[in-house]
Amino acid sequence: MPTPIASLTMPKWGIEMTEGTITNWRVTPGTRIEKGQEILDVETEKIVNAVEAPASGVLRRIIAQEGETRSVGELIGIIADADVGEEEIERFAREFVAAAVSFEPTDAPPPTEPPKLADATAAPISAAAADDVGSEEARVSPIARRVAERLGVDLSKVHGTGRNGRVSKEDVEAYAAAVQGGTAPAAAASTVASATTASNAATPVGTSAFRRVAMNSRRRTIARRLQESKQTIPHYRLTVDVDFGPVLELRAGLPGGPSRPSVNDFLLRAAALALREHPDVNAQLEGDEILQFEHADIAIAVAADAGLVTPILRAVDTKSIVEIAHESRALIASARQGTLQREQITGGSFTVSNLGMFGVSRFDAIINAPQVAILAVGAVEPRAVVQGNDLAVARMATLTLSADHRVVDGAVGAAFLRSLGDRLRDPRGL
Amino acid sequence: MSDSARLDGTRLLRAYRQMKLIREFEERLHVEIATGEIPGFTHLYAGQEAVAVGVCEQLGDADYIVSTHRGHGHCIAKGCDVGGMMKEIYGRRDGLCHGKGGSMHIADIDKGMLGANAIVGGGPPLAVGAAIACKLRGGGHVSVAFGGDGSANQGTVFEAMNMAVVLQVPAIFVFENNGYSEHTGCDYAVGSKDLTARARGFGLVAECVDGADFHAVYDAMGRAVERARAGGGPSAIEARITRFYGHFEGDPQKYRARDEVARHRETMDCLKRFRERMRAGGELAEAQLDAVDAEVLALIERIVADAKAAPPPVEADLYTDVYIHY
Amino acid sequence: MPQMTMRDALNQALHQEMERDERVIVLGEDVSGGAGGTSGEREASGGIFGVTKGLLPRFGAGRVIDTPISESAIVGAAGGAALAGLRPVAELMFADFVGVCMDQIYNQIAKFRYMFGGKSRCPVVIRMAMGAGMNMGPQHSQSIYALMTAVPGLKVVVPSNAYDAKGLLIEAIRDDDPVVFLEHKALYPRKGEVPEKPYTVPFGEAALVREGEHVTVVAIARMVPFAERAIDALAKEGITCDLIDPRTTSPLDFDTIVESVEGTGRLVVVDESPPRCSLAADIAATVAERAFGRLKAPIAQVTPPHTPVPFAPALERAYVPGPPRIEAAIRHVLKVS
Repeated sequence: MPTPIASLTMPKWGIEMTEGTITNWRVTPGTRIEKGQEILDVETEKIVNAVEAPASGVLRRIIAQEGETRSVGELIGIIADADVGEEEIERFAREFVAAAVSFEPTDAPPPTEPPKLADATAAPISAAAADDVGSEEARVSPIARRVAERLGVDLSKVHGTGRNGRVSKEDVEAYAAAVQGGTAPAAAASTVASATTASNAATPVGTSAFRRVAMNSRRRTIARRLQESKQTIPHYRLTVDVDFGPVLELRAGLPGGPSRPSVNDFLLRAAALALREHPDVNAQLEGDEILQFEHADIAIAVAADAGLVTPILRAVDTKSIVEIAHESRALIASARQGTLQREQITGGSFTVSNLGMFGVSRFDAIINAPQVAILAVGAVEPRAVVQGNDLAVARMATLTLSADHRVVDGAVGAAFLRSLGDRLRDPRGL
Repeated sequence: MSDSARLDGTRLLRAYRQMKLIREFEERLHVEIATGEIPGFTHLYAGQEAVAVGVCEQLGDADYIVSTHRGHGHCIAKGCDVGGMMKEIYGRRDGLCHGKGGSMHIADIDKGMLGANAIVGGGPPLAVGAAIACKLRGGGHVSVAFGGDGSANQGTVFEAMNMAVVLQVPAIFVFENNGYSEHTGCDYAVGSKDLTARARGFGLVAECVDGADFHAVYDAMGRAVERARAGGGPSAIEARITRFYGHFEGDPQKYRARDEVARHRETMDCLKRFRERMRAGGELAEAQLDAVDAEVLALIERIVADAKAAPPPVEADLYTDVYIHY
Repeated sequence: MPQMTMRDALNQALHQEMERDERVIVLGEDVSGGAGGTSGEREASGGIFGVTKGLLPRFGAGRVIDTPISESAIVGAAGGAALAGLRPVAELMFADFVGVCMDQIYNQIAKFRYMFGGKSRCPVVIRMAMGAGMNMGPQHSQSIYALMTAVPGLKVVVPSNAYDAKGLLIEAIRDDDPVVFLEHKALYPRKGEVPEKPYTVPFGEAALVREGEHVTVVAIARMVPFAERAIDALAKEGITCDLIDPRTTSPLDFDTIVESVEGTGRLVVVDESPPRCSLAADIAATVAERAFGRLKAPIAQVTPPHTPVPFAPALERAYVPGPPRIEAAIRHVLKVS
C-alpha cells in the first residue's frame, strides 16, 4: 500500500544520533527508486552509512544537498509517484513537520499533585484467613500519640493527613488549637472538661468548678521557651528613669493623624542606635559562640489573643522614625490578626516589651533566648523630680534592661542604658 | 505422525499470519524508527519469526514465556495486542505498558507473557520460577525461556538450566542462535561452539533445529512440551537462525559480510519457505496467503497511524505503579 | 505472653503464613538441607540459622525447596513464581550475596510493576542474614540496607526485636510488592515477648522505643538495643532521649523522626551501614531539610568507618558502633561531657 507522497528524512541510527551530513546522493531527481534501495550516504560522528529508500516511487525532490547537515527527522527528499502534481509536492514540503528528537529534561516544574498509588485489588487467598491481631496503633505516629496524651486529645476524633491517612503531630496540634479556638465540632468538647462532669483526668478534691483547658501549641511553646530561659540564663537587671518630655515635645510638633510616630517608635529608634554602639548587647548566644549582628533587628512583644508573640522589625537602625512608625504598626496589626509569616517571627537581636499602656510603672522581662537582652518599658507618667535644687514635675518612664551575664557584663549593660537614655533625653538625633 | 503433520488448514493459516504479522510489524518499524519519531532504541526480530511462532503455537494462555530485548516476535506470537505494542514502542499512554516500558519491556501477564527483558540472561531464572508455579499447581502447563546465543554465555542461564534440572520443573529453554552476540560472532563467543551440547551437559534433553523452518521448530517444541507435561523435566531447543537487521536499529553491522543479509533473505526466509511448502503440499492456496498478506499490511498501517495519533503519558504517570502500596 | 527468640519468632511467622496461604513457598540454599545426602536425614539443616526449621516435614518438598548455590536463579525463580501467582519467600543465606544476584533484585523484580505499566504483581520476600559482630569477615558481615533502600520498587525491612520480626515478616509475605527482609544475625538469639497468634506490623511506621526530652536517637536493627543501653545509662544523669526504631527503611517513617526532633532539637542517627550514602546520611539530610529551624545542635551520625567489615575480633569490635560511641554522640550534641 504505497502512500502517494513519502518523506525521506534524516535517519536516526542508534540512540545517540541527533544529526547527519549528506556526503553523496546516489540518485538524481526524477529517478525511479525501489523501497530498500540505497539512495544516499550520510556521515555521522561515528560512521558513514547508506540510507535506504523508505518507499518505492520517483525521487521528486532533493531538499538537502551534499555537504549539508540536517537534524534527525528533518526532510531531505521527497518520493512520490510520477503522476503526483508539482503543487502537491510543494505543499507537502511546506507542511512537513519533523519529528522532534530531544534529550533535554522538561522545563516544566514537577507535577505538584502527590504521587498516586495504583489501585490494589487484593488477590484471593486460597487458604482461609487467620484470626489476626489487628494493628490499630499504626494509624497514629508515636509522637502524635504522645502529644495527644499530653493535650488530652481524643485521637479517634482527629483527621489524619499524614502518610496513608496517618494522624501526625501536626494534626493533633491543629485539632487541639481548633478546640481551643472554638472552631472544632461539638463532639470535641471532651477536651474541655468540667470538674462536675466525669472526665478522664483526675478531679482535684475540694475545689470549686473549673474548666480544664488544654494548652494550645503556641502556649506550650511560650511555656517551654520562657521556662528554659528563666531557668538557664543568668539574668541581671538594670533600671533607669528617663525623662520623656523632650520626646513628647518633638512628637507634638509632628503632624497628627494615624501615621504619627508613637513614643514607642522613638524608643525603638533610640534603642537601635544604642545597640549599634554596643554590639555585645545586639547579639545571640549559640553554644560557645556569640553572634553579633550588623543591624538591630528588634522584636516587639505583642499581646495577641492567642498569647504573647514577638514579631521582628528588621534593621531598625537604618530606618527613619516615619518608616519605623509605619512598619511597627503593620507588624503589630498582623500579630493581633494572627497573620504573621514565619520569617517575621524568627531571628531578632533584641526585644522591647512595653506595658506602659496598661499603666504599669515598672517591670522586668524574661530574655527571649537566644537573644541576650530585653528592655522592659513602663508607662510615661508625671513624676516629681529634682532639677538642680528644685522639685519639678517631669514626664518620666522607667526602663529595665534584663541581660544575660554570660554575654553582657554589668558595665556593658549600664553603658548601653546610658546611651539609650541620652538619645531619648535629646531626641533631635533620632 | 509429527505434530505439524496434524495441523489443519486453519491452524496453518494462523501460523502463517502470525509470522507475517511479526515480519511486517518489524519491517514497518525499520522505516518508522529512521524518522526519529520512535524514542530510544529497538531490536528487530525480522528473520526469526518461525522460532517464536513455532514455539508459541504449542502454548496456551496458561503457559508462560519470558522474552529478550529482541522480544516483539515473542509478544506477538504469544498473543499480545499489536496495537498496544505499537503504542508502547511509540511511548504512548495507552500502550501495553502505559509507555513506561518501551520496546524492551513489553509484557502481558494475562497472556502468560512475563515480559521482554533488556538484560541479556535476565529471563531464564524467572522462567524457572514460573515453571515451579506450574509444577506446584499441577495443571500440566509449561514455562519457556527465550534467549539468544549471547545469553547462553551468561551465568544466570547456567544457574537456571541447572536448577530446572535439579527441581525437574516443566521449563523449556529456547536458544535462538542468530550467529551474533550483539556485534560479536557466536563462533567466537561460545567457546565450545555448540549450544545444544552445552545444554545437554547440564542434563537437559536438547536438540538443534532449523529456525527458519516453522514445521521443524513446531515439532521440536511439541516433543519438549509433551515431555514437560508428562513430568519429564526441562528441555532445550537450539534454533539456528539469522536476523535480517542489526543488533539494534542503526547498527551499521560492520561485522557482517556485505551480502550476508541479502543471501539469508533468499535462503532463510521462513515466510518464503512456508509458502513453498504450502505450494508443494497443497494445504493452503496461494490466494489464501495473499489475502493474509493484504490484511496484515492494512492492520500495520492502522496501528501505526493510531500509535502516532495517541497521546503521550502525562507527568503524573511518572509516579504511578512503583509500588502497589507504599 | 511467651518469651521467644527472634529466630523462633521468624520461624513461627513462616509456619503460620504457609499454613494460612498455600501459595506461600520457601526456597533457598539448605532451607531444609539433606537432599542428596547419605544419611537419609531429610531435614539436615533447616536453614543455616535455623529460621526455616520444621517447614519441610510440615509442608513438603514441593513448597520448601532446597536449591543449588545459585543466588541469581533463587531470586529470579522467586520473581518468576511470583509473577505466575505464588508468594515465594526466597532466602539468601547471607545478605552479602546480593552481589551475585543484584540484577535479579534491582533490574528485574524491583521494576516489573513499573515497566509493565502496573499490570504485574510480584509478591516476593527475599530474606537474608546481615550484619557484623560474629567474626564472619568482609564477605559475610555487611549491612546492606542502604543499598537496597536506594532501589525504587523494593521495600526494605530491618527488624530489631522478636516481636517486630514476626509481625513484619507476616506483613512482608502478605504484601503485594517485593520486600527485602534483612535479619541481623546477632539478633537471632535476642528474646522478647511474642504473641502466639499471627499479627502484622505495618511498614513505614516507626516504633518509639524510649521516650525523652533532650535528644532524638534513631537507630536501625542491632543498633536499637545498643542505643537502648546508652540511653538508659544517660537517664541516670537526667538526660532523656526519644529512641526511634524505623523498623523499615523503605518506606521510612520520616514524619515520626521529624516530629520528635521538633521537640528535642537534637538528633543522633545510629547506622551499621558504611557512612557514605548511608541511612544515617539520608535521615540527617531529610531532618536538616524539614526541621532545620528546630535544630539546636549539629546532627551527629554514628556509623562504622568507611572500610569493609574486618575479620579479627579486635578490629570488628572497633568497627561496630556500640553503646559507648552512641552515648558519646548524645553527650556531644548536648555539649555535656
